[in-house]
Amino acid sequence: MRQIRRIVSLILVFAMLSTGIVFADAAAIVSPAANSIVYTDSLLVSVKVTELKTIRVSVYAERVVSGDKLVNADVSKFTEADLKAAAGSGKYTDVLLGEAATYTNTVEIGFYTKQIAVSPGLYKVKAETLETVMEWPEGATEPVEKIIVTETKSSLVAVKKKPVEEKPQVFQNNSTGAVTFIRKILKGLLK
Amino acid sequence: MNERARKVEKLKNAVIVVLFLTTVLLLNLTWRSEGAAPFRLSSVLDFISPDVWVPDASEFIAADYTVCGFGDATFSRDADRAAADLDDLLQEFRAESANASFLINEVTEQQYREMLTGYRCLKVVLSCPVPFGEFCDRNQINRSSVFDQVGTVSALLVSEAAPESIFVEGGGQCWRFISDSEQDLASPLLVSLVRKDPIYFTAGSMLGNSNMAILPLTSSATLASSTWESEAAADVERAGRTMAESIFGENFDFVRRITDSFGNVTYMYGYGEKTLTCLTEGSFEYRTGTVEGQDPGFYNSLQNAIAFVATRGGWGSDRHALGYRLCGARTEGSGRNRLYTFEFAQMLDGMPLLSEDGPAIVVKVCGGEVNYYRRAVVSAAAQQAEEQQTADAANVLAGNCHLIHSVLGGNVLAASSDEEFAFVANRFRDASAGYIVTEDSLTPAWVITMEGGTKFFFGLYDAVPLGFTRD
Amino acid sequence: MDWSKAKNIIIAVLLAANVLIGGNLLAQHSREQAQARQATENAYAFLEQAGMQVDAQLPDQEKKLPVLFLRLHKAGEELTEVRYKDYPIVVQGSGIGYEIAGTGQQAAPTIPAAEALLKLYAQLSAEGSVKGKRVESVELVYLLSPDEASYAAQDTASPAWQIRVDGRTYYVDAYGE
Repeated sequence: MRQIRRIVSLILVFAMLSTGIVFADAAAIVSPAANSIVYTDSLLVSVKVTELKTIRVSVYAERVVSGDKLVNADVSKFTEADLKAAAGSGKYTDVLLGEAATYTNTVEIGFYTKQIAVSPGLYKVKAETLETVMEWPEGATEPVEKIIVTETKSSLVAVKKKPVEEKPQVFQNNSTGAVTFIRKILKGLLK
Repeated sequence: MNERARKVEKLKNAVIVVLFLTTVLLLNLTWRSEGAAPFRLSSVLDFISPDVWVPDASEFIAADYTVCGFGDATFSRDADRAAADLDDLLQEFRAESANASFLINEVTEQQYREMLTGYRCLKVVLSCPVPFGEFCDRNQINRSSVFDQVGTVSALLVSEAAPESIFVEGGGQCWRFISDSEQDLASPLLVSLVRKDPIYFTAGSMLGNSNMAILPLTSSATLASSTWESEAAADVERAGRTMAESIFGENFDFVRRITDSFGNVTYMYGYGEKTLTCLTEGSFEYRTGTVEGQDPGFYNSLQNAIAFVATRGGWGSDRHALGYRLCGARTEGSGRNRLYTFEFAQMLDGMPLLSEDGPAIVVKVCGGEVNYYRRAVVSAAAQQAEEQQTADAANVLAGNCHLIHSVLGGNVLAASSDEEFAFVANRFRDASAGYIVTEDSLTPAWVITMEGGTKFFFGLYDAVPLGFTRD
Repeated sequence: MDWSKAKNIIIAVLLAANVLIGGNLLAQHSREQAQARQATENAYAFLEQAGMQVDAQLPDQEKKLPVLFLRLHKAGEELTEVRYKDYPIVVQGSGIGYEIAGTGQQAAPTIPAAEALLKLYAQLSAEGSVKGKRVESVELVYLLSPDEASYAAQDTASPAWQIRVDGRTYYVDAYGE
């Protein structure tokens, strides 16, 4: 009996996972990349929609309580690990920036893009896939439309302002100081 | 007696006049019999009449636009400042090459991405790729043998990531020219960085890949559709004759002329060694047989092409504003068989006019001689509408990825639209506005350029597919 | 100034010039005619030596002719044989009717018949022996070889030497290209 129950449970789990594969995500947040650190004062929000669905995109400032006010989180020392830990930690309060925007995709692949002015802090971009369903409220004579959220994606990003001298060097010096010195001497002799 | 004398004198006058005329006539007959052909203007056209305007090749090798990077992964694109930026950059390069020597390194993709997105930078994009060696010679930049690593140049840039360097882009690669003077070459140029709407981002950041081509976030335009007619519309037959006379010169009266049932006329010299086809729509196509000869180089070949066009259709009557832009230049073959193909787009109010058949003028040169010339120039006046939002460039790409994918010959077995989109997003190279010449009108369009040069046209405001070039 | 004497001198000078130039022209013309005759004779002799018999009379006068523009009719319509001045018009291909639509503005000299014959000789001898072949006729015509695959409504006929050798007809471009 126990054996049969185990087998049935496995089959059910497998079936649920399969439905998860069939009904792939309709929306994916392309920018900002999840748990990323950026150095900018204008954040690009880009959400890719791969089904004929409507999405709602909201950008929240993740604020912390300071006295009786909500202020931007201090992310100056944040690492990627800190960002991962911040998600779902409950330490932050979502403050909606502007208004949530809706975007309806009418082709196979579409993009919702927007630029948001930001200052250093922690931000969350949320993309909710919406669907309109018909519901019979109790006592109603006819069904009414109701918008439900079928899927939610979110991405945390830390916006920092880094001093120029801390920027990583893109190009290594091509020669050591000694070699450069010798090259210059030789060049002077050969001129 | 006096009366008689007067008559004699009058007779003498008449005789002198007659003898003078007969002398002239006999001299004319003598010259004719010596084979002197009657004077034809077309026979001296190759000499270039002083009234014919021949622009210089350097007027066509120009900067198309400047990309300003602000170090925070945002960019702006500006065509108005490009010429001045190119001059400044070349001046820096020239001065530095005179006083210092350069070490050259190839820039990796990762370095390229970082220096463009993470640091302030300025990139000047040329209208078409140019052989780098000739480009340096033409702009008096001292070059050493290390410069030979770079084949063609299509853009020059400076970046705060390496202020002592100048970067040269071309042939899908980027080269860093490191000056041993270690002078800051970038800062004097970067001081003029100014944001201009619309804001641009890399295709990679918007579409989710690593493509560094830039796309506008949003944009607006005032372009409107307008009517057009061929430059030869007033009298197509006469225009064809004029073109044929200018091409065949003194042989014009002896070339074979074939008119088909649609009214298109083909002039054929010899057994097809030279043919000129004049279509009723007002376009012309001239071909000769295979030509080979000593390669005069890119700029000289371009100048030959420009001079050829100047006397066969011309470059327009306004000598101060070039109505054309060199939008493409290719080189095939080598040595005596090196073939240069130059493509010139007609410009209307600063916007290129393009069509599925290609740009207005195409010239091929081998061994310094033109062996192909196609001309389809239109006459039109730009119409302006009220400023309105254009179709979102990212969604123009995404929404039409199936079409682009199938035209570019992507894997037909690609099951998902995601795979098609990834194929297209990786090969995207440029999005800019222009006009497409359709049968009825000039239609404002997004011109999407893909890797390899194929261009796709979509309605500027509605993203409707309007066609694509076929190479 | 004695204008009368001056006029006499001018008349004398102009007369002398006319005589000189006219004489030169005449002499040149005679020379050319003699050269043409000589070339024709040389051609005859050469071809006979090569074993080719020339029965036709070779015209030795140089002609200047323009090209002819012909309007073509679809196959199946009544064929009409048209001539331009004294020159027959030959349109190769079956069932193509034509009429003259115009001529080129200028006339160019044609190569002499003897030269055309020698060109044909060179072509034939490259293909095989010409011994015993007989040239039956040599005539200047207008030739058009339309491309049957095209839909030409109008085409150009150029002067050509039509040479019949042993019943076969050959054409040599009379403009010499």
